Amino acid sequence: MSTKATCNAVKVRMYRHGFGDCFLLSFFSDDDRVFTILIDCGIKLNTKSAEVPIEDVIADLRATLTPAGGGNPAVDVLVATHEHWDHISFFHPTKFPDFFADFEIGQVWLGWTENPKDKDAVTINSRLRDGAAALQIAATKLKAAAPEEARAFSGMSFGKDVAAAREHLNGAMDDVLGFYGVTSEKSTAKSGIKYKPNGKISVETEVAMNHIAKLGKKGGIKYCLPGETIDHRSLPSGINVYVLGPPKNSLINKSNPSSGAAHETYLGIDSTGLSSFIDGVLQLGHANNGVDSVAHTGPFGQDLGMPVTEVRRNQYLKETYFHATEKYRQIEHSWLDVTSQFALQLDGAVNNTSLVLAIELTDSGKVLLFPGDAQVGSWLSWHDMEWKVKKGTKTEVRTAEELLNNTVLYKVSHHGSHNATVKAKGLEMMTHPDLVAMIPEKEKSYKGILYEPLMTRLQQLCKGRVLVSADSTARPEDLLKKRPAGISAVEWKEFKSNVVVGDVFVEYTVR
Amino acid sequence: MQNIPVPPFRKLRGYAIDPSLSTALLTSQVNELVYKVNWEELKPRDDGSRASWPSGEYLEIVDYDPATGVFYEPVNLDDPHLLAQDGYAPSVSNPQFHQQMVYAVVMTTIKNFEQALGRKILWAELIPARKQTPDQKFKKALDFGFVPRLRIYPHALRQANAYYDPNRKALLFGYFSATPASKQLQLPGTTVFTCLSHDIIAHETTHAILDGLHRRYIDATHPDTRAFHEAFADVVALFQHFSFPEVLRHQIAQTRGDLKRQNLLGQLAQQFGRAIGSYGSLRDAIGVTDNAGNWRPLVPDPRDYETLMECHQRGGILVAAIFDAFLNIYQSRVQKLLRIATGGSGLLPAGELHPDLVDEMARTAAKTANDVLRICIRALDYCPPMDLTFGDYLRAIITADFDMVPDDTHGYRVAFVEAFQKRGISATGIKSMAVEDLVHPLYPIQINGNEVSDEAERQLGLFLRDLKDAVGYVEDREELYTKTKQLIRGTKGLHNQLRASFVAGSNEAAFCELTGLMFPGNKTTTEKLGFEYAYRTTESASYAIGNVWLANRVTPDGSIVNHVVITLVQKRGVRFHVNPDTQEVSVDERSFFVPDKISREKWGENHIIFRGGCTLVFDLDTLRLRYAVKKDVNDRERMIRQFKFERGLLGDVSDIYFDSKEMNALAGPFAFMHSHNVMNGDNHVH
Repeated sequence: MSTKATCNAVKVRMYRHGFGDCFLLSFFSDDDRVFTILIDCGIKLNTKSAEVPIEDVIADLRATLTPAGGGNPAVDVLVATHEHWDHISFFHPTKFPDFFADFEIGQVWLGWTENPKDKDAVTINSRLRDGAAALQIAATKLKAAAPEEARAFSGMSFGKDVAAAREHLNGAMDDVLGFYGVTSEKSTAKSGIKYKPNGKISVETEVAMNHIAKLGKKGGIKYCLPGETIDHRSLPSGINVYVLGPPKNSLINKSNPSSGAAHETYLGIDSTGLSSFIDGVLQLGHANNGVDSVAHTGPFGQDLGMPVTEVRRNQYLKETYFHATEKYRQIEHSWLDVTSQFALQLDGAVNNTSLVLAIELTDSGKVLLFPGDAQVGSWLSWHDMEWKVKKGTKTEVRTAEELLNNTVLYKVSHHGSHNATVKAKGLEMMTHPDLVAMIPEKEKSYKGILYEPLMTRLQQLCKGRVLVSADSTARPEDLLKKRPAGISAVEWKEFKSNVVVGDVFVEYTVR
Repeated sequence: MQNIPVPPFRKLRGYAIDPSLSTALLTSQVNELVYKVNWEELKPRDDGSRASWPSGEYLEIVDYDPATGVFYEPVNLDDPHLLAQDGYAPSVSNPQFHQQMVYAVVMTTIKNFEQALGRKILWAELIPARKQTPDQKFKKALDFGFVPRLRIYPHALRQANAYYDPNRKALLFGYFSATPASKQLQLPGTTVFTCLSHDIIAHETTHAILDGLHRRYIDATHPDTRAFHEAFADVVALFQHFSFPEVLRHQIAQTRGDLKRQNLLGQLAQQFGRAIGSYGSLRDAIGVTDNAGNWRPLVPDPRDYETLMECHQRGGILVAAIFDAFLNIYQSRVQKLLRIATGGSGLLPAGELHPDLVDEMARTAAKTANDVLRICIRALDYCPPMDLTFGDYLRAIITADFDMVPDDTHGYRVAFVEAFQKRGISATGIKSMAVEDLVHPLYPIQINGNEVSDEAERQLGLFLRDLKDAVGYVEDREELYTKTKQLIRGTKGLHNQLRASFVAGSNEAAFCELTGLMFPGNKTTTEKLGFEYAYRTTESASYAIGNVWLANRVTPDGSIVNHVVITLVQKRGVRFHVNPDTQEVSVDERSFFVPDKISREKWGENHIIFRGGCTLVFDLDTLRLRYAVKKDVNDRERMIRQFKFERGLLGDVSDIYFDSKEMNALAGPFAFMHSHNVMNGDNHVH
């Protein structure tokens, strides 16, 4: 790695393979590429793009990263933001064994939440994986129960509404499960949830993440802590990298814009009285898997319930709960209805473990912001920190507000959803006249993405310079055809000269 | 044996608030009390014993925990040992006590409603799926089903939640492990049962009762509708606190009679609030507790009504307004006692209050609370059948109270108006917030120079008098329900009476103006405007008679109010134009549709199902119509507002992946209302 010449430009290549993140950052000192960072490489579960097969993306990475003199493709830093399938799936060692096997990887940067030696991280992760497993068990159960529910409600005015809602919600639950590389299939072999001998749970994304850590063995893994500035010795000159998240404070569970008082607990899924729910669902799962290490007990301990043989014979229950005309009142799966809400919480909690990096070009002060899928809690926590950075012999202090003010490239968090870009303490602080946004996203992948009001405001702040990767309704090819209203001819010309729209990627150069 | 009268009450021990107060020295003595539930014969066991199942006239308890697949033995409240010692002693670890507690609180709540309303309450009907004939012409009359008993599941959910499920006509209570913010507030990991909280039980029961009274109130057509459901349920739970003499005396002594200070009476769900990590109770009508555990009084803000849109927060405005009105009435009434006790100065000396003074103050508080609760419940008879706003409710309160107490000597009505005004709640279409302007105008009102003819009105009055004779003394709720239905339907039924008296005659225009309904003429015109055309019943636009209620109430001055309340509802499908650039919304005047005539797929992207109609209050003594409270079915402004609200154009954000409307379809709107807020730490029981 050359660290002598000062970096003065970054080419940011966003791949167009579908709904998922894959960014290659090439740092230039004039015409020399001196440094490369690969951020994420994944796609929504069970999807692929006909126009841009992932093989083309890998081929482009390979071609771009292979040294001029030949040899293995090499990247200085590999960043994996968080453990979701649409960010790290292509690192899965058995599903995609050939993709990165021969890459020479300098360092791997991960959030502190991936550090196996960090006690908090271990607790969080095992809880999140429990959550994923609970989600999968509950979703499977609800799917299987849908016909029975439809029968019980068939004669009722609300029967059709419930059936339709159930179908949609079950689908949406699969979407969230997909972030773990998991589906709600019945067979556990297929499902991607694995019960280890010690009772711990592992999901496919964990396998992929572990493989990334393995790739980093040679060059070393850096677990990044919020508030730190990456050591200059591992970077080319002219570059500062600030770690903004994942937060290591109580805000990690705030994933929706807050209006009420802040809630001082650590993990969202524990704070809302849902931990009993998770335990209950896991007990079900263990029972289904023949694991009886966890006793299947109710809140009163054992032996308090009616014996099973008596239940069906009981006169009262025959006339109430089990009566033919009273079937619509049964509550067999009502307690699982909260699963969709739980899924949202879990998704937010994992998104908030995203490694958030702000990359600064020291000469111009321009900043590139890569927040992963960080949601609101993470964003708000940035403002509780300061970063120390050496400039010559002096030490300067950066605040989140300054970094946001100087942001000229914003990788839009969480594919442009409503709850992953905060307004006042986020987007509205991105006041730099050169602001450009990049959104890795494909149309009709999820309800609520893209979020229209966010798009509208981004368009305003970027003066139309919003580059979307794989959405056929917002193609960069079309964007470049006509100068948007609100941007000057000079600015537009400048922007166009810095954009390359290829079949496989869209590239924007920050100078 | 024969000479022993049936006992008036079944005495059952229970928690006044919830188990958490039994572990605090300060409150442990007052937290356990005996609920006096009206005596009823419970469903006998068929083994010849005198034992019973927990199933009475109004409710049946089924103690099933689906998460663990366990049924708990149904409690036998007629066990001689339990009868002799007022039921089981309060205990967290005894599921049969849980059943007893739920039974006692639900029955207490029902009793409060029946006393205030002057009639028996009915649960929401069971509505079967529509059966349509292929020619769409004659639809089989819907056979709504009577639901005798509310189903109660004390251990249905494994989560910090409890809700009324309008589909299942059931209350579902959850249990969960506490995750308090600090160990001082509560021990982490202890199991918290929502079915042991008086406040949560009363709250959920109120949702069920309100759904039985006004079926359309669960429709989210206005930011106020869901908020009202929440607020009303809180109000009932709050004011029931004042019916517990020991708690009341204790708190009066603690606050030295100043209930504007922090006290348990104004707070809801103590244990639940702390168990989910708050620093105080789940909700507080008069104050807030910050993260340092410090309590401070709430200051009303006239902007609240405009800015707070989340249903619990918005409901909180109404709860605070009503509680504030109560406190002001109480304070003015208690002043006299204070002056007597202090030789005229009204200034209390330091130290403990004299126990007699505490008793008298408690009596005043209990009386005032009971009055306010009754006013709030009775007001439901003066509310429009749909799309209720807080302003509508204020008018209903004032009018209901005017009917009961023509002379407002204690200033109740002024207190209500002032408390609402302070929070920015006003009544739409009313020029001033003066009490006399808020009272609904007494009929007859001049309507465009027309008046509904006296004779028609008298005929209807006579019919209603017969109706009262037929059902007024029926004790059995199912018989009451069935008889009322028959009186509505038959050829000589109310539906036809209304038609004969008003719709068909020359009174139509006046009737429409009065009721907010529309009868546009022949089939083509009717359907073009989105109304269903009913050949059989009216040969005009069809309308439904929702409720027919008798209201028999003794006023404080000893006279008897003798009213019949009827609700009339029409439905139409409305489509809208939305300007893609300006987002401006207007009614598409050319494409109203009849919702039950075309399939859902054809309703289109920008539609709503719009309802209008009225609540008519008849006076049986004078045979005159007294009030007509309407929501016009042709009100464009209301249509647009409902459309904007339903589409989230009023600033509501829906979640990614999941649609809150779909989540609401599963188990009704009360199950998941907190989906937007779980992350904020604002947790809610529904």
